[in-house]
Amino acid sequence: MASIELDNVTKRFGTAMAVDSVSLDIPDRQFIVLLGPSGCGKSTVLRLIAGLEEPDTGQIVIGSRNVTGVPPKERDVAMVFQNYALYPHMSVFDNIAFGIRRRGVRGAELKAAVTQTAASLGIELLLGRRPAQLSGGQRQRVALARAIVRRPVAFLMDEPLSNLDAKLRVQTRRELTRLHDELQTTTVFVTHDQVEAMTLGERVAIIASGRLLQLGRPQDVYDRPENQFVAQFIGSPPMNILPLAVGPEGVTIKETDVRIPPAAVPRALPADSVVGVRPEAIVVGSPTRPEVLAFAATVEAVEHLGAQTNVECSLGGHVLTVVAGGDCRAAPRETLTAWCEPQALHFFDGTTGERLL
Amino acid sequence: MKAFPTNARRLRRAAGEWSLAWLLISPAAALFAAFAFYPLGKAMYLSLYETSPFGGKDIYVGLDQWQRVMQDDAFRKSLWVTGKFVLLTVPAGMVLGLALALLSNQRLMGITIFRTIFSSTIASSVAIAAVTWALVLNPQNGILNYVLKELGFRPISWLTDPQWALFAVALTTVWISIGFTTIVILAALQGLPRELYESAQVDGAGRIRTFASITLPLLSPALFFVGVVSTISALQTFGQIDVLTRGGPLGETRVAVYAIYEDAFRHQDVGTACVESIVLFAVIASLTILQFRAVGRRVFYQ
Repeated sequence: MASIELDNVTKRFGTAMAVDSVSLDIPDRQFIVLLGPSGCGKSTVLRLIAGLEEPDTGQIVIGSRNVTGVPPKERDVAMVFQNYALYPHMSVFDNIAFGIRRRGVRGAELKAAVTQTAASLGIELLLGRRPAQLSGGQRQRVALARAIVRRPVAFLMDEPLSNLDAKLRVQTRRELTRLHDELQTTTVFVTHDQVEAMTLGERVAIIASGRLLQLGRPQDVYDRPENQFVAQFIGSPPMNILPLAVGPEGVTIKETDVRIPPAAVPRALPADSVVGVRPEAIVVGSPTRPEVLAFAATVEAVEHLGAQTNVECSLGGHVLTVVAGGDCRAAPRETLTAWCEPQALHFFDGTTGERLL
Repeated sequence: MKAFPTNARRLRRAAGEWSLAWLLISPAAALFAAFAFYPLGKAMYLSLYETSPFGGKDIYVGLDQWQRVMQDDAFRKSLWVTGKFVLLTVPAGMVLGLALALLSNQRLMGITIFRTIFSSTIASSVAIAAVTWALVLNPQNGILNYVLKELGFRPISWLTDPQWALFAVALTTVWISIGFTTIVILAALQGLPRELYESAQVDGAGRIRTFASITLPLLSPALFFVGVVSTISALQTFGQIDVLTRGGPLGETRVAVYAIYEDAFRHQDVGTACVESIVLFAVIASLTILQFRAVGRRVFYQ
């Protein structure tokens, strides 16, 4: 087991910037999730750690060893691929054994290691089969077993759950958490699914356009996004973003007379700032206290999800989504009165997208 | 509740399906009948007759003709030569084709130029290739002997020396077939998923181990296909022999098809040629079946 450290790593493919001066410290034993939209460079970061790509500049340290330029096989990391990359002509046993055979494990020791690992993932009865004879979930387990059996210093997982159906994905997510508790191996997990990121990661690194935008505990990232992109990427439905106007009566939401509670407004507010509020932070009904943000919006569309209702409203021409209870009876063209706590407001610079305050 | 179809109804439907099936395969069946089954039947018939060159009446001689041909030293030798020819061309062609395919599968600048060059021999006809090689192999002013002389070796009469003639023809044949072999193997190589190689790399496999454990097994269907097809085509070789050596010297390059050709069209002995054709057909068929039995089950199909 080992820590992983990326120091100012940059990788270009032709003219496209895949990874843009990313620095990232992953302490030993941590489960970190790299989260971002597709094509954001998160998989490239993983491949750089594995050694499948070499950085143009910057260096990569695993443990205390600078592995920049070191071939993958000498980095002692194990990778789980999105499509599992099982060797189709080998049995499950040989697939799992392939890596440790390369490291000179033979005979009874080999057999014990493979059987034990297979048993810990519940696939010990499949050892004689070929990958083509397995279901998606079983293949996934074989891919995990192949990584685990090697006892590598780190696991690198590239969207390993995205080819599973929803139910299996939840189950495997739990299993991954259990495995990590048990093995305590440093894990870098790449995904574009924020639910996976929130539930699996001890820390989440949000990446967009090759840049590391925020790094932190999932709850902290949700509670205090450092910029508008992160704010809208984490959380579902995404955070509402409304433009602000500064007038004689204080700060209002542009094209409305909805006043932002003065106590909540940051001291230095650039001209084209925006305010963000999560749909689930909005409460339907009339406010009971004067210091909250209160408004009335026109209902445009209503989605009943059972436990909750997503109400899409229009506020001064801006789209505003409200998450109400499952019993919400709002109907289109009605007026919805709602409010939210001033602490639930996030202010961002409209030009740079950076968080204010 | 849905009733089970009665036997009569089932039979009627089966009959309908049969006639549709026949209708659908009739174009292919007609072609096969006209150009494969009928000639084969005719050859079997003629193999029992002594034919006369000038359209006279065929005389029934029965299996005597078979016995005569099977004991004919010239024909036995042609089968032996054909066997040597297969061994000289097929393994060499496959190894070279695999090597060129692996080379041209590299990601390098201008690699498509090499891919085109390596596979270009598929576009040249056997006659043109053979004539070109006749120039290369020419004992007086051919480039091969020129190189040999420059390196201090004695020149070789490639096409007239009984020791070298079959080798020279085999060399030409390997060159002709290399384009096809390279294309098939390269296509198979490009179909192999990149992740498998990355996974093997991370798992700690070196280049040789990766080639032996990943590339070769996954290429086995393509290699098997190339092996079967080039064996069959080597057994049927005619063009380059006709252009380069006409079966000589001393029958050293007189392969089976050339023997058949000579008997049928030089000696006007169609009956003998038919016996020889059927023997060659049987050899090719049984060798192919053998290949499928022996190698086919070890091939991995995804």
